[in-house]
Amino acid sequence: MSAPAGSPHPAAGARMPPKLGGAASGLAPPQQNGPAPSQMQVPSGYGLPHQNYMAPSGHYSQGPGKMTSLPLDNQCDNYYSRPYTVPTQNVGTPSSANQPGAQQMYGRGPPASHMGGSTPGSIQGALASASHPYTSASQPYSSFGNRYSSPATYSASSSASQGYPSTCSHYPVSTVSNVVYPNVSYPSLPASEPYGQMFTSQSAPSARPVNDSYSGPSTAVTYPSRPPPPPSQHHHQQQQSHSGYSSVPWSAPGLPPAQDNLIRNQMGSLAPANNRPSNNGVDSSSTTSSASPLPNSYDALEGGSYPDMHSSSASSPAPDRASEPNSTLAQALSAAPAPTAPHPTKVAKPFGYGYPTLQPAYQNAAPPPSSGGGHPSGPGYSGYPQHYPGVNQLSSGLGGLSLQSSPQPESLRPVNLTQEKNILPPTPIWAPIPNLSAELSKLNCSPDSFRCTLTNIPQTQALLNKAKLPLGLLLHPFRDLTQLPVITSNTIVRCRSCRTYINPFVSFIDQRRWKCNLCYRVNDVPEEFLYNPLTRSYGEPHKRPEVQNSTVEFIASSDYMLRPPQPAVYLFVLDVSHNAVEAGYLSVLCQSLLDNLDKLPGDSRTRIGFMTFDSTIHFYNLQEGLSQPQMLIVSDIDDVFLPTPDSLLVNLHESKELIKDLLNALPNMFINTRETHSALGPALQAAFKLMSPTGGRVSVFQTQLPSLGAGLLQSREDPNQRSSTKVVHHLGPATDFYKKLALDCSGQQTAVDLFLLSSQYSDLASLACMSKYSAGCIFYYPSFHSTHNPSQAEKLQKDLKRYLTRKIGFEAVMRIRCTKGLSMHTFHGNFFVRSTDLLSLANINPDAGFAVQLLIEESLTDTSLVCFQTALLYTSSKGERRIRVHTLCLPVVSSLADVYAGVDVQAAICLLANMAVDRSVSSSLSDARDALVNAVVDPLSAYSSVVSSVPRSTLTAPSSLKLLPLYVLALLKQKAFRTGTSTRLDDRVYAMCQMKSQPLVHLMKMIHPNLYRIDRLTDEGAIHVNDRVVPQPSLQKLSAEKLTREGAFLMDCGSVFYIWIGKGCDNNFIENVLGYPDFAAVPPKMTHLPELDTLSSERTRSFITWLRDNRPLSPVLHMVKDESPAKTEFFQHLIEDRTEAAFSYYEFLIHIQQQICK
Amino acid sequence: MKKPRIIAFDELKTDYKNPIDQCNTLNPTVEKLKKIKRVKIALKLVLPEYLIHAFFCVMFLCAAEWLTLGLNMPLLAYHIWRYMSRPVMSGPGLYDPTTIMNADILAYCQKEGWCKLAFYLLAFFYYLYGMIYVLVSS
Repeated sequence: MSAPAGSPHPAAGARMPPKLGGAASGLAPPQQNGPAPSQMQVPSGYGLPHQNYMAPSGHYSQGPGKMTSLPLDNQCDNYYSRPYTVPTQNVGTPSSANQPGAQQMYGRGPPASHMGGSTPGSIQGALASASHPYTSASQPYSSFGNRYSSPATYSASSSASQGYPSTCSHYPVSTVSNVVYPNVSYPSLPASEPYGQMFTSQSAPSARPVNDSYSGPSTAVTYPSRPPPPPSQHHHQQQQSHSGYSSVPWSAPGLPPAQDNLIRNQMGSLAPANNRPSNNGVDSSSTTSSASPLPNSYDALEGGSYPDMHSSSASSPAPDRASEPNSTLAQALSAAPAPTAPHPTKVAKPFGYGYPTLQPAYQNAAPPPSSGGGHPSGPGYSGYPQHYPGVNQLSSGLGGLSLQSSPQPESLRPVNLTQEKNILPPTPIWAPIPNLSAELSKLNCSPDSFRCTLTNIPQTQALLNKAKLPLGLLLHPFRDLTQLPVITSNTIVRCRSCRTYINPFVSFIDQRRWKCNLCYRVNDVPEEFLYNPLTRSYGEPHKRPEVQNSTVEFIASSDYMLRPPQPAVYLFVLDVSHNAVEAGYLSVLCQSLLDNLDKLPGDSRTRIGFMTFDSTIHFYNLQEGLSQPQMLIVSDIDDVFLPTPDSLLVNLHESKELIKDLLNALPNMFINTRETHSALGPALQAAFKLMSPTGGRVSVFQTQLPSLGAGLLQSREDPNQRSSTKVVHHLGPATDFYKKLALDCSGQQTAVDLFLLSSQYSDLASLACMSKYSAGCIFYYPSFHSTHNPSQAEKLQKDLKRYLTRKIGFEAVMRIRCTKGLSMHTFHGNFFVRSTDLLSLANINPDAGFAVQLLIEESLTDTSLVCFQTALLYTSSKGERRIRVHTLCLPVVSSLADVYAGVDVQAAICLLANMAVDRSVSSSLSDARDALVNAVVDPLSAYSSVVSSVPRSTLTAPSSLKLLPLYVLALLKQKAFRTGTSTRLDDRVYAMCQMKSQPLVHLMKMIHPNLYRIDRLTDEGAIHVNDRVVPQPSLQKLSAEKLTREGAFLMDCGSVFYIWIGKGCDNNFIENVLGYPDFAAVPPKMTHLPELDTLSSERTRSFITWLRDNRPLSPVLHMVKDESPAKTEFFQHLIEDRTEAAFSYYEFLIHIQQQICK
Repeated sequence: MKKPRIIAFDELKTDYKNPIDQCNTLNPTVEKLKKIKRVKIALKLVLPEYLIHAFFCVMFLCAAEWLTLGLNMPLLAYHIWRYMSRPVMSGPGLYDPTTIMNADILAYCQKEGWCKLAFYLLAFFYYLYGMIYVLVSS
């Protein structure tokens, strides 16, 4: 009740905004209350970018002979026919000038008249193209196909299903997303990958009864429109308290609504909802711009659709984005709590947003009252263990659905590992669902974004130690989401003491106060928050979108900025030494850039620049108005300076023609170079200087060991030691140059992404540091050659396409908070840890994953739920400051059995992989391997000694842990950790880097690939995606015994697909799918399936396309013929088989058993 | 006559070490900030501490204080080992800014700080006793 307006927000500045740079490096006193004048403080150096350049530019202007700009070519219109032979030769012989700082280069001076003649034309061209992309700049998001759903589809489907077209017209997008959103990001749809499937169900409204089952509390008893639930025995429980919607998000085709039997007792919360009679009709939803669950495209917010929304909201008193004064707003709101006139339909249909009973908050606050509500059998939290089985989707999917009667939960069913032949389930494995009430688990964060290794958090550290399982979080915070509620409000409601964002798991004590679920402080609800823009009603803070969605995005105010949001700035630093030109990556890169130049995320301020280097550093002046790109060469690599500070990074739209000219010319410019040295370090220093005023992204392409200047490296690999079973050296960096550079870059909000395309050892262990600590990403293409190795070239091309066009966030920080009593221990991923819970991310991309190890510092006895919240504050490529918040809620348990029941084995494996990487770098590889084995031995022995009653002589594991040995064996056979098999050091280090930075979904494919038999695809169990029938072959175990000579198999390793064709493979298959008459005719290097007009070809291709559509980096297909040399590549992924140096799966189990019995 | 100087240095040292150690996690939000600052101070103080300690050892050697030297040798050896096994870095220093926030390393450094504080305090009183004993007996 106390004045909520002024006080809460200034403190926001104290915690979240990045204290950029050294000037404000976190030493500012924490400002808890009152105005904080220093928030807008501009870090020194930002405001005066040119200060830094005084010296160099002076240097430059002093000596006219020192630095001569070199016109790249004579005639603008003649680039192709006259490649840069002449200038290139000059580059090759740089010594004629004696000047220390720079050297003099003479291209063939173009005739002046000619220049003059061509200039106007090119300028005009540049202008024209500049204005053109400007309008189309907003397209990239919608044109991504899968990643961002096209709004049109949504609006069509939902307006159709809602029968509500007239009012929808103002804001079609948001209308729909209201209804659809809650389902979308929950991945637990049955047969796998979320996106594709979602799509269908959304575009075909009849496929999923979203709207019907959402229709509100009237379904509490009857429950009409669910799809026929397979396990009908669950119904006897459902009828009691039933919340129809509880199962809705999961009830899509074929999935047993397993959690239905978790009854939550929610009379109390049902009651208010039931008072709203009209909820059962056609749902209508409307939003205002103040809280609009928009799809994840900025266009809707910023582009043309915005005014529309504006006008629609103007008709009703809604707080919209433009409204500033809080008080007047509040008055308006209180004066008209229910929106009136112009849209009568809206009023008449009071919005069945679908969570009528919800108010998790109330339950959260007082679980007991619910049992007081007179529910006969409503088990509170205490009742869960008995009903455990339903929770675990994995197990219920596997273990039959009649578990209700069994006293022991399915996930605890002891499995005798040595006797269980088929340990791998035939369907993909899903994340277990936390054992929460139906409402809470519906609100909970999608496991794709946020997963915990233990879905039941042990009460004390002692209990955790007893269980011997790793506790940690796996995050994929910036994942591409199809739907994301975006909230614009004047005050972002946060806890005043711990700064937690308000989330679905807080409890409302009354209308005006809420209790933080992380620190338990009681906070006031600000006036503005009482108004719900979704329902247009007043006084229902628990129905605000922030409280209804565990993944939301806020548009942040200037409190969250230390400086004006930066523009998108991209710098490409390219190796053009002889080695690089030989490999020919330049043509692939330049072509990709040319193709995607218009799709680079950004706005009208986007800037771009290029640098190349061999033993000298070349800058390119692309300033608008020049007739052609100018090349500036700096040969003083010991003291690098920028020749012309302000024309090297140019506006993408204004200088587009010049950029295109340069990109067309670059592949041929250095074609005759003899320079073999590579001055990577100085080039990076120059790049840092260039980027430091703004920050942004530096993409470095390197093809060899840096051999000149600062940061030069020596070869450390001994090829004879590659297959050594003993010690593997040199996993750590040889020098801290790259790390320091990365930290400097990180301080200036610059991320360095490394593309290493090298055929020889390049000391990735040292080079990777530049990306690791600046929150960049690393790509590695061993033995890259554009013509000799076409599959690598194709991979580079595809990766680049994704890399250039994917979403990007700048100057980001991520903070992870957790309930009091838990604390962060170690972070894994690419970032710099600025304080114990704050990660500094110069850039964030949708393919970055993070892992956090957790500690239980205080006993959690007085709470039944714990929550984790990640808040990612970033600047979008459109120059908006945004905060993406994910909140995960998990139950606390006190018995060891429950801890085992809730293990998320995939998350645990990914966390173990991260920990093992750390261990192998800090200690040794064999240490890490031992630790991995112990990570299996310890929990299994603890389980058999404490929980299970089975004699110790057999190796038993709870069903939830039964895949642990298999996955750990897979880890031990990864390139990162294997010994005894010849592994190049760079390959090993790259695998480690990937483990640290990949999100869980991709990492699991890498650790344990999926194997399918594809020569007999049938439509049995097939799913329909976008009018295509996608067959769903069952998973095969990764063993050669499954590979029959008569078959063809597809292995999905995440970044690469292998198709193995047996020698005796059916000729029909080879003919109909591969397009060759028989096995012998199939060429050894095949990377594409032909488009044949046969049923089996269609099935195979649709299956592969479906697999491809679900991941960001399109994998490359390799055809592996039986008995071809390439098959070792394929066979190394068959991890259940024995190799000379490693156990088979069965041997590994025996080994573990021996360890346990010891 | 060396003893008084030693005392002064030792006091300095104990003062130095104090701020590093008092990391209570009662109120994490405020304390965390302080902790970071302390870590930063600690980064600058490590080398002087090592140098001063080495200097003492040399002095004890010169003064032929064999017992005292023997008491200090383990710590000297530890310091040498610690500096040899520091992370790869070009400049002087002991702590790597990218890993110092790791809870394990932070906890280890704290524990190390406490142990050394105890050792320096005991040593201080022992030196004091030694000095008084020398004064009285002479």
